[in-house]
Amino acid sequence: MQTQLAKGVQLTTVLSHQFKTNQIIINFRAPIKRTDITKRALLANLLETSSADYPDQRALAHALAEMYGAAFGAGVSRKGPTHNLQLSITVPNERFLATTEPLTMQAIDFLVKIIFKPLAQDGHFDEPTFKRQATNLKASIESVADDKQYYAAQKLNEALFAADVAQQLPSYGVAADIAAITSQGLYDYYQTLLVDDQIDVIMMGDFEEAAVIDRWQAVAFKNRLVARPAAFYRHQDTGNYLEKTEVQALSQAKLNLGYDFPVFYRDQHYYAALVFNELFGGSPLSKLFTNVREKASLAYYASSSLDTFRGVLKVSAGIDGQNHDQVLAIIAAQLTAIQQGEFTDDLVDQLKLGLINDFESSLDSQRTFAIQALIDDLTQQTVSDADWLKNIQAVTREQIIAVAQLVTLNNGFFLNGGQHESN
Amino acid sequence: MKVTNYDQFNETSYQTKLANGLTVTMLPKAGYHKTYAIFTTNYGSINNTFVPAGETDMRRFPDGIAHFLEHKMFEKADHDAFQTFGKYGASANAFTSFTRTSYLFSATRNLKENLETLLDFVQVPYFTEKTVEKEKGIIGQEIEMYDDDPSWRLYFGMIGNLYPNHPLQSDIAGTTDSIAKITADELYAAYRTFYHPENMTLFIVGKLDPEEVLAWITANQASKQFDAFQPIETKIPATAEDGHDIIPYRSIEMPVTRAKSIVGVKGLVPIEPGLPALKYRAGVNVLLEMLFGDTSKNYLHLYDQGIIDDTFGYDFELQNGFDFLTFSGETDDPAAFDAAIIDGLENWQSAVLGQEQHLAAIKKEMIGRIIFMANSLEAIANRYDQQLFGQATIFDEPAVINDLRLEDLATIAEQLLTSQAISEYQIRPAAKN
Repeated sequence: MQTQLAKGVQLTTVLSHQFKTNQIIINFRAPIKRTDITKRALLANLLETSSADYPDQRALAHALAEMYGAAFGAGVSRKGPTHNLQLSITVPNERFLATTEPLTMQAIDFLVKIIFKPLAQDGHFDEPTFKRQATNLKASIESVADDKQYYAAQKLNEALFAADVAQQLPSYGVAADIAAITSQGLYDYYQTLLVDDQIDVIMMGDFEEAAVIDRWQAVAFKNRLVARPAAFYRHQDTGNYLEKTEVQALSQAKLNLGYDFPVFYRDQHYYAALVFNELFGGSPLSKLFTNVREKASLAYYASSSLDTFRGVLKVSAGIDGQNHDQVLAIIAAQLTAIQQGEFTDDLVDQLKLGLINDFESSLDSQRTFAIQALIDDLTQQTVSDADWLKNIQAVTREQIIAVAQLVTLNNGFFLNGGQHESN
Repeated sequence: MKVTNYDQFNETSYQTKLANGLTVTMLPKAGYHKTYAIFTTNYGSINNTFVPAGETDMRRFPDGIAHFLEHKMFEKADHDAFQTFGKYGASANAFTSFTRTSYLFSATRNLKENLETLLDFVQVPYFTEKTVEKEKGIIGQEIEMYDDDPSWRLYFGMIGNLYPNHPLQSDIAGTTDSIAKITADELYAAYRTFYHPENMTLFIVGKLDPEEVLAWITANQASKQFDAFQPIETKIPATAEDGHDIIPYRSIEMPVTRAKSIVGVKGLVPIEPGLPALKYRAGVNVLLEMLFGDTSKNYLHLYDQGIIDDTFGYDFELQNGFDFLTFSGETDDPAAFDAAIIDGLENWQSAVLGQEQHLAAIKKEMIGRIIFMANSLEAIANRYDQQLFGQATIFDEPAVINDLRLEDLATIAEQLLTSQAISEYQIRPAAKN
């Protein structure tokens, strides 16, 4: 059920007996901006670890423990041209515990206190807490480079979105930006966020819906005066392949490829693109998995993924550096094979079954409902489960071949292991 | 079939042992779309010295053979098991730990076909020298990938400190050298020894009808012949009861941005399987929360001093035959990190004795966490370990947690947190050229 709490502030309640917990998510959405990304990441860390009512982590953790180990977290993410700051709390359903405490209502109150009563005074966040979280965010951003798979993916992103700096950056921000953020500047930005961002509140579980709606209506959210952010960023095809190479002391090299693929969430090519991706590199039955990994023994992993909010397709592979040219050629050959229709109808049926299995399985995760509600609000459309299944079933081999013609290789990032001894 | 009702959680489990020795456990979950099944043998990376079935002498097998066998099980003469699961829309996987190898699938449709696929591919081995050779390239890549992973190196560095001269300290996947020696004959010998139904369990949870599913499994198993089960003789080297073989400190350099440190504590006293093991695990987990959890004084103090940050974490590993604790994190000052953790461990009394209120809050938290896990088919199934905990499921755990008293925690701390059982391992950033 949807309830409008104010203009641009929407409450979605989903009732279900399936789960033994109740989940509450509040999401703040804004257009992604180079100047704001790092501030929002730092805000997530501050809100997760402190508030006026729970001034240090121990007090906050204790309150959560008393709510039977309520799981509370804050984080940031990107969807196309939007940036999301999200807080969530999940509590066990009281029915399964020897308690009469109204844990779900307590959890709402907790979240409201966290959001509206941060640990701040005189227009700035508490200085020691701010400094500690700024230091920790800087360290955690810098450490990301130690995960080579992630690092290579990030470097590919920089190349793929050379035309738009905000699209290049990871959702968790830039270490170099942290020094310029002050406890006062961040507090000012937070006040803007609270009135300008689109807000979604999503509650999923087994609770009294009317009481919950009343509680959220009492929060008096303000009408949003700014326009809704756009749902999609459209990547531009460069028309040619550009590869960057970097050498580090590594045993395993990484090859990441980025393609222009102008297919967007739920547009006319969307369902065919989902099946195409399964066929290309999205499943263990895929061309990449069977040809790069299994047949040629060239890689431990080789897979593809879609970003239908930005119109790109990506491939990543962990390989032996000396096989670079061979792997690149095999990946290209797999795409050509699909474009020429070299796949069986049986395989397509299996890939569809796999997609259906993933979709139906996702309904067994409480979080799925919140993720879907957010996307529906972002794109202002919704598709029923039955229609989703019908749309996947209806995809034809001709549509898969047609959608494969839209794929154009644009960028590559090759992280080579310089000190590797060949054998 | 033994039926266990967990009224408080509105759940029921069904258990039985088939004529061929296979233990089957089923847990239907109302409202779920998916079924998750996991087929496990009590055979892991530490079991590399054993008397092969039908032979009389102990033989040493190459490190990594259990994991290699896991990879090779999927490949058959004319097909790959992944393809069969794919045909029925299931998602399949497998993993090898120190003491177990598990094969699993999850599916929302075609449960009968998928279950039969799982049972058949694990129970009909097919290895040839040619396919074994090819797999060496794939697993070699997997090993190299882990070599570059600082967290993996940190964890195994600590295990090497705590268990030198013990098969635990070898990587589960082995090394490129050790797997190079594996032959098809050795895979068959390991298979015949450890993959007897008597040494295996099948756990199924989610959308299912217990009577119907059991009938399918029984028919499938009745159609197969197995030799009479011979108790398995394995040799695992003893480690020093007083911990004198523990390496107290090592450090390496890697191309990392920030140093990483890990402090380990080896359990020196054997833990009895069954309910005692379940109680012990719950007790240690509560004790760890009291000492270093985010509700503890230690945690806040060290966090505010910058000695630990959000990368800090701890883990208790309890498996059949061994147990150890680890505390790890990224830090600018590994020596200060280690000293702070060791100080907290050696002075556990102040965080435990008389701390009734803290214990009460942590018990609530731990019981809540079990309720969280009850949402996840994977968590319910993967937490089941017959070898270690008998027939207990996660729904037996809240009562165990509820019964814990401060005296129990003090007893565990006295026994576990002894100075001679503690070790340190650090990864320091390599100097840049």
